[in-house]
Amino acid sequence: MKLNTDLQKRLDNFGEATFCITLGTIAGLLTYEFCLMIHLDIFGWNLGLVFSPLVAGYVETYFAQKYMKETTGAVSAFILFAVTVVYGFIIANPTLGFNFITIGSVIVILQAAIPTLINYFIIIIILAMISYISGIFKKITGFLYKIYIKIKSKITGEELPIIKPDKNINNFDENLQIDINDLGILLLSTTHLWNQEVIKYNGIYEGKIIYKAKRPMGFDKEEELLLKDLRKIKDQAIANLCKEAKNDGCNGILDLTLEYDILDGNGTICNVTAHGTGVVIEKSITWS
Amino acid sequence: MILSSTNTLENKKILRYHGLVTGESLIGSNVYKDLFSGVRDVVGGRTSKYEEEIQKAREIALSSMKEKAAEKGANAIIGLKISYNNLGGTMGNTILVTAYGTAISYK
Repeated sequence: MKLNTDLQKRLDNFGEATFCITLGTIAGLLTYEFCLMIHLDIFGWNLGLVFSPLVAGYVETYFAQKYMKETTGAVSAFILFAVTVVYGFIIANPTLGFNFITIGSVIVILQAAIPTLINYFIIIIILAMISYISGIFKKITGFLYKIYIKIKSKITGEELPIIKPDKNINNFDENLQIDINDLGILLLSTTHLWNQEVIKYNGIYEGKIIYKAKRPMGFDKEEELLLKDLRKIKDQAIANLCKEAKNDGCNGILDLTLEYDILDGNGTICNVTAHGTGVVIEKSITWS
Repeated sequence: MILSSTNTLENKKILRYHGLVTGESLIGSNVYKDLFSGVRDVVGGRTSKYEEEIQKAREIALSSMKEKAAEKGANAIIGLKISYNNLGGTMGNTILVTAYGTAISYK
């Protein structure tokens, strides 16, 4: 109900509001025409750019206060902003072209007209994009942290903690050929083994391997090479699993599961995990 | 060749376990420049190009797995698992399709 009366009130005032805005716009345009006629320039800029929106807004607000007892938001000032920019930069000076100065001027004018939006765009979007892509803030905070640690260790006499980035986290051997079915353990993705008896369940075993790709895997065009590497690391993860299980005397793995996880946002570090239940089974003639 | 995600085959006798067989394939990131046209396809009710690519990749992974099983002399794969893993992190998109199972001979 409240919304309806509010809307109704606005609709009732619509004609009057339009009238005030029109008055303001006309006043602004007349001011601009006057400034252009008398060449009210300073350093090549016509001051009509500043005065006409001012006059327009003032006139509109005056009449709105007088007749409607509320403001209309100085819409005519916005209109005059647009008119003066379009006329001054495009129509009156067609040879001005696009360069640093003209584009910069337009941005400055826009920033004066719609400050919140333009500031949001400049600070939140553009600045954030630059800092994310270049990683500059990360580097600055990392540097400051190192200085802090050094000072702290000097004061308290504690040892410096070693913070070294792990340059080589690849723990897989590229030249190693592994046949996963030749490792002396029966690998099964099933949870049950037929024709044989499980003598003992030894618990869950896990084989892990970390792989650092040469390029972000999300954009890798050389699919064949990447696939080859991924197959090798999968085999090594399974081999690591078998090693662990064999150490405890298992000769079979049930419910073998493979998982591939990406550990960083760029898709360069992949963690492959193979896990399953280690069992001791009685050998029989059906075991290959 | 029979493919099954179950642990056994009903009314069949398992003669021999041949071990684990796996197959992988990648869906590359160049598919994604068609993704926006793919969205239009979905809205229009047709199968999107993206779905076709995933299906193709799954077929490649499965057939590479079946080949390896056939080489060992198996005639079925049980305990089949298929997984789709995004290797791109938060940037880029490459999907690795992995299929693995236990190759067996049955009668």
